[in-house]
Amino acid sequence: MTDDPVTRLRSVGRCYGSDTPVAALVDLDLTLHARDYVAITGPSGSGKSTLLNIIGLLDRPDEGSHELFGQDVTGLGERARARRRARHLGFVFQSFHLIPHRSACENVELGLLYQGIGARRRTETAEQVLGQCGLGDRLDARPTQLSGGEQQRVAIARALATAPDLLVCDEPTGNLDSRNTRRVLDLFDHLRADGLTIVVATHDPEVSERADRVVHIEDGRDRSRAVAR
Amino acid sequence: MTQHAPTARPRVADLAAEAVAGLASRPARAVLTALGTVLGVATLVTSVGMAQTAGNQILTHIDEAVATRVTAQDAAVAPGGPGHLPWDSADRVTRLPGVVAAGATAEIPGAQPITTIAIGGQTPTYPATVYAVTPRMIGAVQGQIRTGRMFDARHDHLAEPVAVLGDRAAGLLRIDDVSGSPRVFLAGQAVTVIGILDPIARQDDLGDAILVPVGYARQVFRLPALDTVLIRTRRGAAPMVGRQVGLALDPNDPTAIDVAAPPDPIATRAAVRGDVSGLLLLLAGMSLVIGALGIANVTLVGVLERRSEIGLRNALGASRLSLATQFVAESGLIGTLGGLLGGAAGVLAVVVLCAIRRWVPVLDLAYPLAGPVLGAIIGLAAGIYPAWKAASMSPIDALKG
Repeated sequence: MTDDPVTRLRSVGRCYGSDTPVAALVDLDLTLHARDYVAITGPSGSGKSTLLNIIGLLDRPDEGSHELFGQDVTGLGERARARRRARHLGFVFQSFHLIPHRSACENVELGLLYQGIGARRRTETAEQVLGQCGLGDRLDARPTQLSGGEQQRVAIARALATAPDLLVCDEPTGNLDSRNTRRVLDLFDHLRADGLTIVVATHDPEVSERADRVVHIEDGRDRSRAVAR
Repeated sequence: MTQHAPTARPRVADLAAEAVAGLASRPARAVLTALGTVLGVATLVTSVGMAQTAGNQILTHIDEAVATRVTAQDAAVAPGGPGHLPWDSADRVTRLPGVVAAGATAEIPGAQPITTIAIGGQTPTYPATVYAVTPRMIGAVQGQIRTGRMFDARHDHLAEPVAVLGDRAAGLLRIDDVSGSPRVFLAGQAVTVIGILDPIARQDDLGDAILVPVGYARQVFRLPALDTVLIRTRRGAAPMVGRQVGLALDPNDPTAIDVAAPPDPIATRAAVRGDVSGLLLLLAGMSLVIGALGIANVTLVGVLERRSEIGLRNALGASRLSLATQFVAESGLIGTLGGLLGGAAGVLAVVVLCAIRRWVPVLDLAYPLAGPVLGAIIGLAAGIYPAWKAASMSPIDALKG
């Protein structure tokens, strides 16, 4: 890996709608270095998810530039963006997004499918990562047989199985009770300690308190002041 | 965490496995979706099978006698009137390839009345038809002599006054034994009965006839010409002989000869197959279209229901091509399944229908074996639009569900 930042956004702007455009992000700069643990906070509709989508290569900025490991990815085609998502990024969503008719292990394996890894190695990796997430005894359980906390840990395991460089989390504790929230955040702390770069969009102060840095967004603009931990 | 050396490209086998897993997760829906294709392919196989079977039945029903009989007559001759076929008609026709035997005949109206020796001062007349025939005519109609013998070329050449009786004519004349050389009078001319025929299934009207040599008829009754040639061919040769006999009898004007030959059984079979299968193939085609629309519709609904999964796969690095491939593979698998089941159902239907009709089932195995291929093509085609919808879905919108 180079010394380039994991992700760098320069003067990024994003508008939605054509008749009466709504600015979701305005002239926003953000740099994520390796091992950063950054929380993105702000009220609903402030642009947090839009920012995460751009960081996660799920959306493109209308203005400004986006670099991933020093390479400009702003104008990349869909296929190249998909490859970079598979290689570099892991996603954790508020609503888990587990496939209901597949076991925990199969859900985690799905994360490895688009890396071209063979079936046996996918299974081995999925079992290993689920064990690291404390779910070694729940490999064959379907999502409906798991608690909310367990489902989110399966989703985190799915993201981690691909050995991403950046973990992109959108309200990862939004559907969890306080006990499971702490368990997920403890897991993030361990991952952070292992060197993973994490960016989390959240409303939850408990989440932002654990981050190295907090980026506060309002009306699509960066209103934050960095909080050194 | 474990480090990998990813290619970021899913393997084709893995995408196929994903498609199978996608279908296996909703087995009832997959089977119901395949039903349209099942019906279409089953109808197709059944229609082709029944058409082939029915065509084969035609051959079974065309019996040997009908299939090998050709009759040639002077087209201009009035019923009962004189013809103008040449005297060597039988010889000309016998030389044609495919002819087993041929005989020429002509009715002799001037041979009436038919009488026997006066009984008790009475001279009864008998209602029989008198024909001049060439000696080998009996072979042409597969006739058998019950008693006595058939006249031969020598009788014909010498115009000898001999006769052979049909079985019913013999009964009418009360002649059942020719050892005493019984006589019959044709317009007062005595002929000696030298033989009596068995019933002839192939030419039943000869049972009422009295047959005399052509040479005798020419000399005694001034027979002007022959009017009919009866031909027996090898099996399968009758249509060909039928086409050639006019030219053999009247090279200058073959159309002057009316030829009655059985239809070509192969052409008849093909025609029957065509008639039977045409409508059924139309129905099968409609069923297949409906099947394709069913697969397309259900797959499209599946795409909309699985928006969240599509968004997730997008986030995990699935390219548009990977997503499209997965959904096309799923619909292709449904079509293949439908084709497989439809082909089997079609074969079963043909066997059952033939068992009910007591027919021998005939079916080209290429059709049921082509069922899965046809189903796959239908499924793949039906999956193109839903797959395009899935691939063009915005990952952000898809993740919102």
